[in-house]
Amino acid sequence: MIRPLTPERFATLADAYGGSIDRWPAEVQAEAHALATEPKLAAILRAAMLLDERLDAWEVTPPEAALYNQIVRRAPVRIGRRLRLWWAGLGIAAALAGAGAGSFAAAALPSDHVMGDEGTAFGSLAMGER
Amino acid sequence: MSRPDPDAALIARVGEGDAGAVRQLVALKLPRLLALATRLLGDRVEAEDVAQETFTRAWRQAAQWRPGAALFDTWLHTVALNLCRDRLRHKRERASGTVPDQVDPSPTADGLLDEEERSRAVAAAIAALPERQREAILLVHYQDLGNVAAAEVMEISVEALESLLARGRRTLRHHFAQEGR
Repeated sequence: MIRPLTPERFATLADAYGGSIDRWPAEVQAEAHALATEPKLAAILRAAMLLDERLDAWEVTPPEAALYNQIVRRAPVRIGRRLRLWWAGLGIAAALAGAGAGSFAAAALPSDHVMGDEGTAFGSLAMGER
Repeated sequence: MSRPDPDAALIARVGEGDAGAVRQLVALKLPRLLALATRLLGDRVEAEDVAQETFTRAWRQAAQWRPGAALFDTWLHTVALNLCRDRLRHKRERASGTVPDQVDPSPTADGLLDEEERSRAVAAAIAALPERQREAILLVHYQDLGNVAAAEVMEISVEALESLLARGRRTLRHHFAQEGR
């Protein structure tokens, strides 16, 4: 049974989750939006929002392309029609002979090694490299 | 409780070795994971290590990931959080009593905080919170995880999460009120 959202619970939720109802538990959001039109409860939200805005001042620099590229390069990917899986950073051998999915073995490759052979083009996964 | 996972199709493609899906997943998740690790650890280099390790585990997991009760994003956050906790624990063990460097949120001469100083002041205030309150606030306020997901990541109940959030936010309100900023 879903209990109606009381003003007390409304205040408790604002205390915990802040002034943005979108961060509140999903099951109460619709009711909370409706209640938020009441002046007292709107004031509670505004007060909670003051702290939210203060917290929002803490910014973090986004990742650089180099980190992105490093992570992407270490992912196992399918190359060409013949399934080749290689974990560049983990030293696991990757080789696959024959068509079809199924058995494959891993071969050790240096981390900068670009596999290109037998007409199978390898496109770099990294950003800005083409 | 079964919830549709918005990442399910993408993870399936990653598991099949789809290069485009790999790029897409990293572009989608890296900024958020790095932000969490940076805020938890206070060290960019360590945070990048955590982000890399999280994705390394994601690559292993993708091939066998089966949509179910847990969302992949929740799983990623759980991995990142646990990696951060491990690093913080090792730091504490190595520090053994020495007080870690604290960010100095002193205002500029004219008494006004510029953006960077305000950012550092918030970072310092949150760093001073008890660990679980800090984690709860980072996951809900900064990572925008819903209450269920955040509680799952922290392996606590939603009620416990709410209690941590409320206490943490109360401490922060009091802290900023004391500072008069």
